Amino acid sequence: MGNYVVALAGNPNTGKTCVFNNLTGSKQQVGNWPGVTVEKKEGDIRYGNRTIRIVDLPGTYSLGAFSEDELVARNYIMSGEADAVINVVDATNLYRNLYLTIQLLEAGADVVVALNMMDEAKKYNIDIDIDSLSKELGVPVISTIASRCIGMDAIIDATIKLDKKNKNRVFTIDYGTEVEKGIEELIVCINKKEELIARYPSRWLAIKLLEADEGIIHDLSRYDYAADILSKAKDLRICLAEELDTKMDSYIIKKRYELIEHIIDKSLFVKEGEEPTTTEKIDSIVTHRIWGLPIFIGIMVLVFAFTFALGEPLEDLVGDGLDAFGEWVESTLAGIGASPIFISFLVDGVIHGLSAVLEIVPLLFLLFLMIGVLEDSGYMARIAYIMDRPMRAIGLHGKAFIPFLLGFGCNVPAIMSTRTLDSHRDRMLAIIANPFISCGARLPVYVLFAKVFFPSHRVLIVISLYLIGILMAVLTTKLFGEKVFKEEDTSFIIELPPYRFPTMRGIFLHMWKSVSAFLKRASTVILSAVIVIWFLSSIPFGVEYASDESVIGKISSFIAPIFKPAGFGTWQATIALISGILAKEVVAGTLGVVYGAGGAELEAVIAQQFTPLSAYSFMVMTLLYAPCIATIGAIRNETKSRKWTFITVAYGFIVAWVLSVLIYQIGTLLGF
Amino acid sequence: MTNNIFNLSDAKIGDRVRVVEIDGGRKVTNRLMELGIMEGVIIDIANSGGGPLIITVGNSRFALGQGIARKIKVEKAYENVSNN
Repeated sequence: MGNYVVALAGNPNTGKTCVFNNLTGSKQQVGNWPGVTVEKKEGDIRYGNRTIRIVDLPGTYSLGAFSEDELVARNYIMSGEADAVINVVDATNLYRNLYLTIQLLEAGADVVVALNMMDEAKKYNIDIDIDSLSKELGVPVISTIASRCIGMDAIIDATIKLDKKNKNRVFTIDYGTEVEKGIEELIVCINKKEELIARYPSRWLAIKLLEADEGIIHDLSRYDYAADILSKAKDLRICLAEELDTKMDSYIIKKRYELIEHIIDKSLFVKEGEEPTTTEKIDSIVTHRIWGLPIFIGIMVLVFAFTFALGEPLEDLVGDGLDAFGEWVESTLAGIGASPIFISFLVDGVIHGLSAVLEIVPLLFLLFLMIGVLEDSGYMARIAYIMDRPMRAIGLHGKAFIPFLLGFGCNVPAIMSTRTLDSHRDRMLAIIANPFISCGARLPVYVLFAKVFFPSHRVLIVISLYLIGILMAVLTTKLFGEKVFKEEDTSFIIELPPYRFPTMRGIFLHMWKSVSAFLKRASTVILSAVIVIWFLSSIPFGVEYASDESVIGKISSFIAPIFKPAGFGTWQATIALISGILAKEVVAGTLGVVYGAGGAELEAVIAQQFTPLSAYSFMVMTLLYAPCIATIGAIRNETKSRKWTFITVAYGFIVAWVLSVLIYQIGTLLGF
Repeated sequence: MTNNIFNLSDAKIGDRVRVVEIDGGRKVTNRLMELGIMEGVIIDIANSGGGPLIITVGNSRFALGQGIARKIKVEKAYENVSNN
């Protein structure tokens, strides 16, 4: 028997991802911010003797075609790949949530409704008659509290039973005599085209055409055989709009809501009670017109202060541990008479290369912990609100700030999160400027150099780099926003989810997912990179390890002059930058390998090879130059344009080079 | 009291208003409708003044830009006594 596939659909902030985690036990990211799940994610579970695949779709308010993630969700539902759909519905927001449910039913999906957050509904004095709701919708409705894992088995049971039941249930909304006539006419035409019937349910397609759904019209316009249907739909739209004195799309949406109102009348009871909720009280402070921004800045300062204050000692601890481990390996292996090449491989290559990278893990842990708290508590959406005014100054709205904020962790999810932005322009700007935001992987370089050259101003130096990154992102957005992408009519709407106390489990999943991705990279990309670098530094065998006589020395010596004006024209610095494109963490690792030293030794070598000025210039270079391979891949995926991927990379490199050269040259003139 | 119709963007903190009309392009109108903001719906204003507004519709809270708030025409549904 083939796999049984179940899709999870629902509005943002309904606890959909939480349901997914409960079901699959996967280390999947849950965020209390609209649009954390920006692509569909999968996980398998066992049910009796069969495997059920759960597919988590992006949270959407409808199956329209407004944003990228809505399209992802809709295309998946329409593809028929899923045998059933679990629709996670927020019980405290039934009215709005049922809109998606209705659309799923209209699309012919086999739905089980997971009525989630029943505990919160109780707090709002909301009483839902589940049997009645189930009868009205014609599908099973299961009461759940995902945050406490209640009702999870029941959903799966209901979904499996669905499989056995007769699936030929048809859900239709009565759109009124006139419109129904139009729908009938269109269905007749559609049914004549076999190609169309194969792709879409006819009634659904007819309704979408009357709604003038952009996605569908765009899809059909590619086929000659659909031309007459498109023109017929257009005529009908105009005709009906005149007859009913309204726009067809609004009319259809209204009809769906009329049905929802009818359903709610029968199954939802609210006992009135109007006390300001905790959310309202917190919001009146943190979104205050005057205090909102200072509070946000204060929180960010605390986030970074906490990360560094706690992270640095931990980092030293890990660093010292790895140093000691390297020495121990070296002496032990020498003691048992291992070949010098093998010792060099293990110690100079693997251990020194990786230790520069692994040292940073505690810092990353803390950084992702803090981002996790911001997301899960619900504050992230408020940041979009607070930053709306400042963001307008650079031609974006507040929602576009979130990808930048996520970029401090890692640029890859940050760039993917731009899918929640409604306009193409905003997406492109947020993507192009994102690599300038200093991700966690760039930290090892700053930390290493700041420790050597600016021991008493470490934090200040690191902050200055973050600020340069932010400044370049701002200037880039402004430049491209004004010169390349013309202003579009964009509207800023974002849901502010209720504040929730982040659960230990949620935060832990969050951190673990991010850090394990980092460790995975460290054990694959970064490890291979350091091994290749070690190898190139060692051949032709017999040359002094990592000298300019080695292959790597020769290649890099050839390129190095480019960086001379920036103050670090050595081949070692060059190879570090080149390999840093694989992953930015590798920059520090490579220095460890080519200088054949780790920890305190590496610091001593660097102190000789760089001056404070060239060190700063090198840090700026590392901050701004080409994004890492993973980020380049994300840019390519999201922009769907080779041209813009190339422009983003080349632009970054030019900006980085110019700025490093300026810093070094002006610094030299000033006598630093 | 007469039914004065005004833009949602001009509403004050604590106001309770009813949507009379959404006077925007189809994209904006449909988006708002999907979020449950449409003709006849009651909106409470939790925050306003220059920047984006924070509104409550049912049990949902939204932040709404000035541009879009100007397109939502509303009338007062309820005078809130306790405005400070």
